[in-house]
This record gives sequence, C-alpha cells and structure tokens, in this order.
Amino acid sequence: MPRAGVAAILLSLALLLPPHPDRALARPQVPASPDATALLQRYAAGEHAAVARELARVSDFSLLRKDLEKSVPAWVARSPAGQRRRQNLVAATFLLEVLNAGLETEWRQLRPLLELGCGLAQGAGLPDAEERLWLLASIALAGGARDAFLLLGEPGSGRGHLAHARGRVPDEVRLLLADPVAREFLLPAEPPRSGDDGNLNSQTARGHKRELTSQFAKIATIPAIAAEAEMRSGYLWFQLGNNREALAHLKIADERSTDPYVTYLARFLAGRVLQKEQQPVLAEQAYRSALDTMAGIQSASEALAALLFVDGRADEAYTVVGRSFERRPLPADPWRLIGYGDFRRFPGLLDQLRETIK
Amino acid sequence: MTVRAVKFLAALVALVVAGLVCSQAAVARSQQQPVFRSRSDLVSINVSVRRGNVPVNGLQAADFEVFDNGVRQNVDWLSYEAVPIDVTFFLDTSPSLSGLLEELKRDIAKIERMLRPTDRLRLLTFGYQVTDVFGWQSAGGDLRLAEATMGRISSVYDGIFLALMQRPEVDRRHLVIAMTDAMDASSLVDTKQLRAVADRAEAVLHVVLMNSTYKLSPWMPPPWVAIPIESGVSALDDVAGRTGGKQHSAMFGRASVVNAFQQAFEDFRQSYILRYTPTGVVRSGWHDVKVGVPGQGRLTIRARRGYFGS
Repeated sequence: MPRAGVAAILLSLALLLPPHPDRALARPQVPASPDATALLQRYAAGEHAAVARELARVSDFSLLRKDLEKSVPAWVARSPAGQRRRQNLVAATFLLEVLNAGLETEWRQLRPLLELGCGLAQGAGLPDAEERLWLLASIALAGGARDAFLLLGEPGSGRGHLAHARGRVPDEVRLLLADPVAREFLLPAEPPRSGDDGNLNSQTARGHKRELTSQFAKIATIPAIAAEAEMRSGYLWFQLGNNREALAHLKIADERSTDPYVTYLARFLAGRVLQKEQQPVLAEQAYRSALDTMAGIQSASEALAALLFVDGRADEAYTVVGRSFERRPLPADPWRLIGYGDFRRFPGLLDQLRETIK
Repeated sequence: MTVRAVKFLAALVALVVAGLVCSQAAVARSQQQPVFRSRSDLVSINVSVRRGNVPVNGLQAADFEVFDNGVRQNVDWLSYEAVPIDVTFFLDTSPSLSGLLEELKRDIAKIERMLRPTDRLRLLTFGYQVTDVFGWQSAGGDLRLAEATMGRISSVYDGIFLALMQRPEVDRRHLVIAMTDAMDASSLVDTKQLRAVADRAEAVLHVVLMNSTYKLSPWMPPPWVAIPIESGVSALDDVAGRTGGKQHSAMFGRASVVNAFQQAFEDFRQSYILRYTPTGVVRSGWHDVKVGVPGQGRLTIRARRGYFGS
C-alpha cells in the first residue's frame, strides 16, 4: 500500500475517532495503584497468576505507568550481572502483563511500556528464542488493541514495532502475516447494510483491500501461514463482493488448515458467502461443518439458527442456540476475534513466556 | 460521544465503506412452519388490554373477538396473571451505554424483586460475544451483576435474537426486556432477519430505549466494528410490535428508565393469554391475527400481529 494512501486512511480514521465528552468522568475518584517494584518482585518470584489478578484490579494505570517507567530499569540494574538476562525477561514479560490488564480501557497511555519491554527483551547479541517469543507475544497483544500505528509506525515518522521485529527475527513467518493484518486495522471491515455505496472514499478502501489480497497471495506460498492467509484473503474478497473468489480462497484455506481456528473461520465465512449467494442449503452445511470443528461457537450457531428458524425448523434452532450457551466459560468465538490479528494466540504465548522465566 | 457525533460517525462510515446490501432474500422467502405451543394445532396469543394507562382486568374469553386471516375464531382458553413468567433481560453493555451501566444493573435488581417465586429470569449481555451473566434461575437468586461489564462490541440485534430464541415451555410465558440505545455495530443478524424471527417467536419483546451515555477512558483502543454502525430505533420499535410488545422511551433521565421497566413488566404480567384452534383457514403461510374487545369503549389492544402456519 503506498505510504500516501496509508497516511490518507490514517487521517480519515483520526477524523472518525469519537470525542470523549465525559473524559473527566472516566478518571477514578480514588487513585489506586499498587507498588510497582513490589509487584515486579513477586512476579519474579513466580506469582504470575496472582500478580495478573492484582493488575486486573488496578484503577489508576497512569500512576502505575509512571511508577514502572522509573522503577523497572532501576530494578533490573540492581540485579546481579549473572542474572541480568533473566531479570530483563522477567521485567519485559511483567510489562506485557500490565499492558494486558489495561488493554481494553488504558492501552493508549500504556503503549510506551511496550517499547520499554522491547528494549529489555532484546538480548546483548543475536536474538534468542526468548526474545522471539516476547516479540510474538507483544505483536499479538498490540493486535488485541488494533494498534496499527504502533505496529506499522506513525505516518511520516520512523518504523513501527513490526519492522523492528522483522529486523530482529527475519525468519519468523508470522510477522509476514502480521503486516497485512495490521493494515486491515486501518480499513472498515464490512460494507454498510444500507445507504450510499458508491463514492470516492469507498473506492479507495476497496483499492486497499484489493492490494491486501495480493499481499496475502504472496505469503500464501509459505506452508506455515498459507491457510490463514487464504482465509483472510477470502474474507477480503467477501467484503469486496466477489463471492466466487471468496469461496475459492476459503476452500483452499479449509483444505490446508491444521488449525481449528482457521478451519472454523473458513467454513463459517463460506456459510456467510453462500447465504449472500442465496444458497441456504449450502450455507447450512457450511455452518454445520464449522460447528463440527468447534462445537457450540456462537457465530455459526446463531447464523445456523437464524436459517433454521425462518425455515420453520424452530426445534432444531432452539437446540442449536441452547448448545451455544451450555459450555462454561463460553468458548471464545473465532469470528469475534478475527479483527484483532494474532490476539487469540496471546494467552498461549504468555504462558510460554511465564514458563521461560520460572 | 454524543448522538450527533454517532450519527456523524455513521454517516462517515457509510461514505467510506463500499456498499453491498446484505440480502437475505432466500431466508425470508423460505417456507415457514408453525409456532404453536404444546399442541401442533393450537395458537397462543398474549394480549395486552389497556384503557389509557390502566390495564383492563376481569375480561372473559367471550369478551374477545379473534380473527385469523379474517375468519372469526373461538377462544377456547384464557388465562390472566396465573401463568409463571420467564424474563430475559438483555442489557446493552456496549461502550455507548457505559455511562449508565451501573445504574441499569441496580434497576435490574429492583425489577427482580417484582417477580414471584415461580417466575424465572436470566441476564444476557455482551463482551466479545453475547453471553449470559446467569442462565435461567428462580427469582431471589444471586444476580451476579458485578460480572456484567462493558463489552467491546455492540451486538444489539444478536442479543435480542438470542434472547428470543428460547424454546417455549408449556404454561410459562416468556418476556424479553431489552435495555439499549439501539446502536448496533457488530451483529451477525440484520433487522430483516430479526423481523422474521419476531414474527415466529413466542416471546414478547419490550424495548427500553435509552440515550447513548458515554463514560469511557480516553485511552481506550478502537474496537473492531465488524459491521458499520446502524441505528435501529424504528426497526426495534417494529420488531417489538411484531411480538406483541412495544418500545418504551426512557430518554429523559433515570426515573423514566425505571418507569419504562415497570411499565413493560406490568403490561406483560397483566396481559391475557388467548388460545384457539384455527378453523376455517388454510394452515400454511402467514396468518394475520386481529384481536378485539367489542363493547368496552375505547381500548388499546396489543397482540402479536400474526404467525406462520404450515
């Protein structure tokens, strides 16, 4: 995507960002921030889950951030030289925990902690396995925040976190997938259900989506990420209204996938395309096959139930919806996570990091 | 974000995004089946009868006139009040209502105290997807309202759809109360599908419509708006009407929200249940249902507008 195009879209999105008239109300009345060094010390001692729970209760992240920016470097500096690498990784992972705790409400003020963590995760010499793991986790987390600016770089200034990561671990293929996915963060996801559909801006967005399909096509030659690239490409073609192309890519994704998340989405999205193509019988089959992959997931359950119910098969529809509420906790819905990049992999990556620093 | 800002945002999104109107024509045109309860040939209709704002009590089966596709039917069963009620609260926990969330939770607790021991309730909200904070439980149980937190999506139609998709139980009635600003930004089902489901569902939907009230952190990251923002005020009014319920405006302060709750609940609790076996009409297809109470002066009568037969 040309840089000017990216800049134009970033500007458009900046204009779209809603104002926050109640900012003052959003401030907690009683500041509550734990002692950062004490928490970090407990984290280093292996109290990972307990510290994460405590972080989830923090109500003033601005205080915590300021505290961390001072105390983390000091804490690392105090560690014995022989333990410096481990302490760096502990601190870097702890910072990911903080970012994760504030992800949904405080991300934009916590972003500098990711840069701080990145410096700590970076070893003295060539990148090691731990740094690679940390980079993947941090990119997954930034996906959870849909932070295209952080990942791709601010318009007209420097390189983003993805370019830095590629420089450190150029053989990491998930970074190739992360690039077009981050660019998708800048584009509207689906066309409006009604209203104006033929204007210059929408044509611009469509042009960028077509470019992204080309980018996905290039990386779909890499076996480890081929299925997801095809699935995401299929979804883009669906958004572009080219249902034949969408179905072709989704079929390839289904055939190549060994990942239930990708398989589910390939089948669920095929169901949506077929529904739009007014082929309810085939759509029903697609939704059922998605649920064969991941039972009880809400998106396919709901889409299937809607088809069944208006087809007069109310009992079947009630059963399908009932099953989607049976499991506790409700299983995460891949469709609801597709717009957040690799965020679905973050819990697993964080677990691996926790194991590494034990 | 003000309503004006939301409208501006919606307009901009509409301008930015390419348009492909999501057609569900095949769904809508597909053959329909009946939605009878307990017996395959029995039709059950909730009927609210009011004179002004006051419910009209004490009516007998013979007081009602029911027309099914224009053919007068014999009402063979009538119940008033005695039937236990299942209440699904659907609480819109999207960012646009974040400023009201805590107060709404307190309102749910108040309404829960109006239920009888034989009544049941459940609470649906959304986080990353529609979720039930608690499933069906008897009135008086732990509401776990602290677990209802602000979500990252705004799937109003999905929430109402899933609330309506409840298998009817013999001799229980199902009321859905949806508290929302009708700003949908990520539902899989659209208003056309929701209307189709409302025509077939046995639950009665009341919508308590509120003003968007934001109380957001300025540091919040952007959500994934899967489907551009769609205002559904008129659509939800229609959907509620199709089930025999209505939309209550609660856009003028806290007291009006509570009043709207109470009005919706009382309206449902004091409604009649008419049952009849359709005679003199073709079973298949859409059946227009008209309910009247002749000889009682000027009344407001609300009932589902019809049903699909096979």
